[in-house]
Amino acid sequence: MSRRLRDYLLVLTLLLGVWQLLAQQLGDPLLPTPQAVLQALVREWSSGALAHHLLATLRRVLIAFVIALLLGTLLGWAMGRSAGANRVLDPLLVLLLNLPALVLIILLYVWMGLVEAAAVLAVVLNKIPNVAVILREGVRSLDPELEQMARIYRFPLRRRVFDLWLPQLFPFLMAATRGGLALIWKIVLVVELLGRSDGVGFQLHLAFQVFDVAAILAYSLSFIVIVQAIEWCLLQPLERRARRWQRLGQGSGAHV
Amino acid sequence: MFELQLTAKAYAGRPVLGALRLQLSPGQRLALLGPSGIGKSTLLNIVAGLDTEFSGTRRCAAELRIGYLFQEPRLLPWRTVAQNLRLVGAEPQRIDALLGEVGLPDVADLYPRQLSLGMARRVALARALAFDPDLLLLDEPTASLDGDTADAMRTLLTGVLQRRPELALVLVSHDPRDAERLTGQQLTLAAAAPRPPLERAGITTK
Repeated sequence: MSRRLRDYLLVLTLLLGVWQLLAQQLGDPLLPTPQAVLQALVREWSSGALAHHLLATLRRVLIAFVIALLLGTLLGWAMGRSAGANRVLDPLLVLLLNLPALVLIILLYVWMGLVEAAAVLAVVLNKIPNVAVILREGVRSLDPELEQMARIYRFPLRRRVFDLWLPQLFPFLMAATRGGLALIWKIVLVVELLGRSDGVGFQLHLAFQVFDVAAILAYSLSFIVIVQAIEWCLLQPLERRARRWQRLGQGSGAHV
Repeated sequence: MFELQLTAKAYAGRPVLGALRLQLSPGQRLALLGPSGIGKSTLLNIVAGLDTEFSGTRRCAAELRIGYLFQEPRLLPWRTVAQNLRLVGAEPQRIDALLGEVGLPDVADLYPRQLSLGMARRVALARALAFDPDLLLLDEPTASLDGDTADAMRTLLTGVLQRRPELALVLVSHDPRDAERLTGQQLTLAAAAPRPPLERAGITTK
């Protein structure tokens, strides 16, 4: 773990060095130095703008993510369990998967107006097919032998969900979460750029109009840090806890 | 208590089981013997109510509790031994006694992966007992165990059955020693194919 951290910091420092050298050599305001970006960051932070817009974006990401994960899981469940549902819903899924995010965003803004609901719905619809495809695979790989066991011992629904299905679907939910956060926050920026008046995407839009590259980098880097923090402080501990049984099960174990 | 009237069972168009009639009353112990691939496990799944795709009728009270010791232990690998027992309804204070009965007093907090096959199968037996079954189904309880472990398993099962005189049993095995130790009645299943299933002599037991 500490070795991973060391390598991580090493790569980061290396990148910063290359950036610093390049920016100094060019001396162009369109590629600001790391210091200039840091100054922009401090400026935006002390004015309160950074926190305000980061929170606005984070809120949209979380709301869209939770809804997409729930609906996508239900859809994936139906498609994985029933061949009929899969036949009916698969063309719809392929259509949504291949529909560019931008088209969906524009259409929803046109139809619903520049409102928050349209913004969130656009993100949700972009993410659902993704979750559904991953969870469909997960549901198809559910162990039929354990299913029989649960039938024999009359597991009530609550136990089937929490003790039988969720542990088997956990790796798939994790994959959907990881891919989901990364994808969703990028789409949220586009949604904000096109039709909201707060959030990181909106700020990027403003900065773009005056070619303020330092501000653009300051905002995007801070959001990357947030996503990374979610990964380290939330997802990885959760994963370690859920995989405890696999770690303990390794090795020879006790024998009689 | 339980009655199965099987006319035929085919799998993908191929006959697996022919006509047979099976009647069980409380405390009755029955062994089905035969080489592997003869359809013993299929028959056990039909008795358990897991396989409903057969022609014939299966009659039993809805509240008949069936404990099924599958050949694979089928414990939930992400739950500890104690949690696996809790999941079928064992009260916390009964868990030690159940594990003690199958000779594994110290495994409550282990995960199934930390157990050998013989131990895992005994935990699965404890789980079946935790369910308070009226009918116990055993699918090859000594398969893949070495000689001593298999003997220990037979001794353990003998004790379990002696302590529960009302418990009915259907045992499926390729090993006649299992049947001799555990049951009073033994039936040998013969190959169904290539004769048409209905012409086969029916097995009736009372």
